[in-house]
Amino acid sequence: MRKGLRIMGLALAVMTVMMCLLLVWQAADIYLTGNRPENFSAPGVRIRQVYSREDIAARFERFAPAVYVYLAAVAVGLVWQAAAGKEKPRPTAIPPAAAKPARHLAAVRLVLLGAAAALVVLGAMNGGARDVLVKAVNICTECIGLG
Amino acid sequence: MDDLKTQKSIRDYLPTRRRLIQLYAALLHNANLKGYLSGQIFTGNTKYLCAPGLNCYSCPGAVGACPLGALQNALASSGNRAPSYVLGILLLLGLILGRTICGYLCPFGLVQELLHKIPTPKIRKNRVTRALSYLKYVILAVFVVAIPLWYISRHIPMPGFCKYICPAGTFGGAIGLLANPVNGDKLSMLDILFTRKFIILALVFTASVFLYRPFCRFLCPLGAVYGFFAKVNIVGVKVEEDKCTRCGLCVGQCRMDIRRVGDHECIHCAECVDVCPTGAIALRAGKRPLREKKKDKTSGAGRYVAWAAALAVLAGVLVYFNGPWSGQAEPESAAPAVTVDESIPVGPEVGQRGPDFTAPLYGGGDFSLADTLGKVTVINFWATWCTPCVNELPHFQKLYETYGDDVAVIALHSDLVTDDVDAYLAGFDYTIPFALDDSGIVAAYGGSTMLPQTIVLDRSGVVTYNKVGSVTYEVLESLVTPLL
Repeated sequence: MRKGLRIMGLALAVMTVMMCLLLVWQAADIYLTGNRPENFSAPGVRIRQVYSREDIAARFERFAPAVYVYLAAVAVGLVWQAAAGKEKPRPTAIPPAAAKPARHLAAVRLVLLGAAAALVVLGAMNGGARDVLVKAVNICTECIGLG
Repeated sequence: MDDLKTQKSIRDYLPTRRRLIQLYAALLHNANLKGYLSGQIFTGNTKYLCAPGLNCYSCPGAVGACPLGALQNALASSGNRAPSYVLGILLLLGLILGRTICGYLCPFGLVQELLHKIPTPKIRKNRVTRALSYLKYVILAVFVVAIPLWYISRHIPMPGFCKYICPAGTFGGAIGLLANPVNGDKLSMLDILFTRKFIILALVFTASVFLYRPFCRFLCPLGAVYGFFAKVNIVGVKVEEDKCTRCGLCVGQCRMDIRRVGDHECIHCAECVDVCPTGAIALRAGKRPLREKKKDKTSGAGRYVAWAAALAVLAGVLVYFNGPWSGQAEPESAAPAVTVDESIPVGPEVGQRGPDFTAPLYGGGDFSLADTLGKVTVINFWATWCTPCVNELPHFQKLYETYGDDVAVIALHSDLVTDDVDAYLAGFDYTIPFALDDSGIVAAYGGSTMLPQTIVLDRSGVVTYNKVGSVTYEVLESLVTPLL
């Protein structure tokens, strides 16, 4: 059972890498295809967008069987692993680095706590808190990678 | 005997208490479940607060601000005000929980751990991974601190980590929003930036299958920040030195790149507690033990009460954020005055007549859309805190200079003002009119929480273009010239 699980694990490893390569390849291909000269009416003026729902759906449809096979293999692997029971890694003895005892820990914590509270109050007063809200309730398209 | 075996097997298969806490925390971080259905982000007042874990605030479910995004933006605004609020919150979180947040509360850590469950051969920690674990400090210094500070001098808010690296933003923010058909038109914005970040995300997820929490160990600047508090954080795994025999079993079994339990790489998952032969290790809150070897501090009825209370809190939070009364911030002012044309319907869509508005100009006076009738009009919604917005302003200026007689341009700043816009504009030679959208004009033009947005109206005021996302000068020119 363990040997079978190991073989399954190796197969899953290969499939995982293949899936990653597939995703990277597709993303790169979409980008390169979308930036061909025929997609521009003039330099910088795009007439066809790089990513489209139809294109993504068509590509996924082409590779869907591979994705489903991979997901099924993962599911089988997980069930198999659960059935075989956890093989707990045997702890290896590694001498830990010596810990330096923290001195005046309570005092340090108290000072830091006071400093944190003071900074938060100061920030709330100088508009820093509102800055956080403004950034959080608006989407900066560039920040999340949309462009 | 068989019963015992079965019981053990089932118990092994059930999620651990840490996993349940992680799931619980992920749900709390993303309690705005209706955001996934509507495709809109939460805009309520809880976003004043930073969530402890790495969870993009542009994720439709997020109900708090991302501490890392907030830190970068605070540093980018530090020319105007000290970033004390975010620093104070990070100090507070680091002091109380430190990297216990990574082990128990971070949603992105949970995603990596679940991927690591896929049964493939695993790469154990070694000298290379230990060396790589210092990379996150470099990323913290360069992308989170140096890049935003460097861009201050150019008046560009630049959250370097969010823009170039953050896979949590790509996963929760970009893909989370784009997955909803409501945001289908936003696909037109995707280009090299998304492709690059998507590839980073794919690599991080793949690495997570083979390596334990690779993003947390090698890349996460938030973990690096919390790691600074390793010696003082109140809740975390602690070792009783007088019981410790230095056998090293704890360090040996740990999948993080620690040198000793509780150091800056330790995420306080407490998996070492049961390995310790002398029971020297315990998860503690101050001096109070939360988890000790083979001992459950909250056992029996206490444990059920704790879980019942936690579930009650979760239920309350979910009802609060998803109920009809949920705390979405209302627009601060009334809808703009709209001139209704009987023949063409008024609205933000292409082919409709653009809603009329009047807005106060920076520098004095008012801008009225009605005054631009007869000219092609370009409306740009922007804000000083929006990087792509400030980057594209020169294109509008060039358009204004080139077609000034025939094209009216108005740049409307969002009503959410964080900087002195007059002072900001004084740093440039822009001659286009800048006004403040103080009456919800962006909403009348179909916008909501995404900037920048550009609208083009023909000479009779009919909308010919209305899209969110950056534009180039070439695009603007191609939109305007056919209307002249």
